[in-house]
Amino acid sequence: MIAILMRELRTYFKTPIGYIFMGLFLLVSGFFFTFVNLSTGSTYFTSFLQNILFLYLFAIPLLTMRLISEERRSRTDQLLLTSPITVTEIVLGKFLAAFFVYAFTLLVTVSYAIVVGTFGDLWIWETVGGYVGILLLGSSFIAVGVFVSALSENQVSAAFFTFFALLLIWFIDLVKTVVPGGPVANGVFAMIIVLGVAGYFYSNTGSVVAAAAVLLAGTLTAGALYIALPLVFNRLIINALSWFGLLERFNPFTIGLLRFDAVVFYVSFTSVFLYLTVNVIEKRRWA
Amino acid sequence: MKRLKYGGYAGITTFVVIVAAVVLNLLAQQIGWQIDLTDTAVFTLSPQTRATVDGLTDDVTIYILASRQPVNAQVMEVLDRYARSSDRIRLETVDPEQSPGIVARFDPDGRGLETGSVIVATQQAFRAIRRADLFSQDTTNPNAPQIVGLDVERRITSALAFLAGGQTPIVYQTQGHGEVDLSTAGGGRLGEQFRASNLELRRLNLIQAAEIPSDTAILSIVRPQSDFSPSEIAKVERFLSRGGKLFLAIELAAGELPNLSLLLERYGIGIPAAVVLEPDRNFNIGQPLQLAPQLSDSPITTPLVEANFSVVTPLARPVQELSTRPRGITFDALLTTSGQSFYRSDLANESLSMVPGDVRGPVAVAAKAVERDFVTNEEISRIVVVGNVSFIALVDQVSGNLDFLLNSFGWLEPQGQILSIRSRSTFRFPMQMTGMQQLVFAVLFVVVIPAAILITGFVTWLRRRYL
Repeated sequence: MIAILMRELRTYFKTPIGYIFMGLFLLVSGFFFTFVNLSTGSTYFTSFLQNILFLYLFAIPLLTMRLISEERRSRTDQLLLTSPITVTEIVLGKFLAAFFVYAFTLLVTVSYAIVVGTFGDLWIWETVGGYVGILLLGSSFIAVGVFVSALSENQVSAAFFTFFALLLIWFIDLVKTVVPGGPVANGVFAMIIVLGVAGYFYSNTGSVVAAAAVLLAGTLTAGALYIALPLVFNRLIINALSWFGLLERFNPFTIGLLRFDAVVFYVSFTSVFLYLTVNVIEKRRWA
Repeated sequence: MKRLKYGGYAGITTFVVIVAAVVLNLLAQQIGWQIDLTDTAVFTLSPQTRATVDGLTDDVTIYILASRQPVNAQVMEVLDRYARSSDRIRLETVDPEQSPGIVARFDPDGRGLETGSVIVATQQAFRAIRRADLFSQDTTNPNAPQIVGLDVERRITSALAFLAGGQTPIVYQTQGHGEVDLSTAGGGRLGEQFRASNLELRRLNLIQAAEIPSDTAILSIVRPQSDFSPSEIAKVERFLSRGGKLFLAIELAAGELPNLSLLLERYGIGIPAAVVLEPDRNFNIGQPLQLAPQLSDSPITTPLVEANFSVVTPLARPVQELSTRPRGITFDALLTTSGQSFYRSDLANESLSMVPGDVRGPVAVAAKAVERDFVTNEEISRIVVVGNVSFIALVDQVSGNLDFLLNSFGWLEPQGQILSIRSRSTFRFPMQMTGMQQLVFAVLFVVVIPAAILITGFVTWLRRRYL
């Protein structure tokens, strides 16, 4: 894993991509810091961290687009997959390389906080919490980017689809406010999910029987949920969308709260997407 | 067959991983651990709140009125702390447009409960807290009031204490000498602050009353413009002798008050008819008569020091410790001026500098004293004396003044009935930079650092493009 990590880190800085990511990220965040904090004298540093979040929509695809898709395009993935290292190590190495570049870029912005602390009243622990939150949020975004990159053979399409995936996550809170409630809408949603899972099983196994078994089990589970826990069932869409509410869970960090459930959420979200990435690559071995 | 085996295995493990992640998150939500990283412990409930919550015997629902606009995140987090602190407390978000019955039930007078307001209710009773009262504001500039703190805990705990049927200590305010009525001071806002701190204000005419009522928690004498009669003083003395508590604020204009002075001598306190001047700019607010004295280390003033609050006392008179102090008396200055300060008895002299006859400071302008039985050391009575009344008029503008006043009452009646919870400051002092410093940092962060990185990237690309 270390070999992959080092190789990816070298690639970031032997090609312009790492410099472009860092340079543009710091250019825009420098603008925000200047206009939000320096020009007004504001010492509310976590509001600066909140303000630069939109930057991630564009910066994260830039960071992750080539990670796996480039291996497929240049056919070097065959070499990697036949090497002694596991797919998990490959994915972790690539993810960590992107994460370290991102974390190092954020480290530069600590100099902004030092300026605030020197000339004003900086709440240090709140700022530390803000950085913990933004690192966790960034790791989740990077995991999504790595996953999308594994699905694509083309860097540009990987960047494009990562951007849309992040955009969808961005507006998830807004979507939640307009989704219909009630048993019918949630029932339809539950069946779409069950059909999706059955389709996933079919694409994996090629077995109609396995897919039908999943369809039957899923339908029965949904029915049981409707009868046993109607309150949970009637909020199925909202609850499902909430699992993608990455930004909502970042808010406590900006007001000075380090919440255990938010940390667990980001870590598990990142882990699930890395696991899915491993599965996508593994599938190419046996499919 | 190979595909079925591997594909089935991958599908099942993916399902298991996702379910495990969901369960893990549900568990984490249930545990609800969190660390409050704010400097002023904005999201940490005080021991007094915990005691109040633990003492609840009825189920309580905290309703928060919310429509499309999200409720302030800080308010929601503090309310969530209450809900997590007791099984008896439930938090419910209500949309007033969709549930107009709720508003009608809790706002029968139709005074208007705007979105963001909170209602604390049991089956029998309720208390509504308006959104504006959940925050403490600095209204020094009335055109641009600024939120400087969060007042959620004090409001909610006060409401819980009220609903739990706990006792509300009664403060009797003397009348008949031109005193200020605290319940109407500041357009009634001060009275609301006392209610929020679980204190009931009542009036008392000492001439008419045979004795000070037995249910008096604290006797308050604020701005007497004339002296008390010997019979009134005798009633106060009897009240203090049986364990009474006294809050006394005297203004400069009251002049000599021989009978009240005699009462204070019992506590080793002197209140000369003099004015305190403070030339040290660190301890005035631009003018020697406008004092911002040093805060001592005491239960009344230490919370203000921790919150970075100042107390402003314009035109204060000295509250001196007399050289001859009766046995059993402990005197502690609360607000003290600097070594450069002085006080002047000749009020006709308008000079702002020290002149012959002035007495060099430092001098206290507020003090507390405790009387103990010098044999058994048992506490008999407590008093707080402030050589200033104008500070009360400034409670709306200066947060420290309000806290100083309420903390004084809290110290006088330490039975836990008065809430010592204060607004949690969320204010931070802005950066103090010169224009040149701003420019230098702006150029560094917007131009120098990004350009250095981008140029390095360009050079790297130039060097390696043919490799």
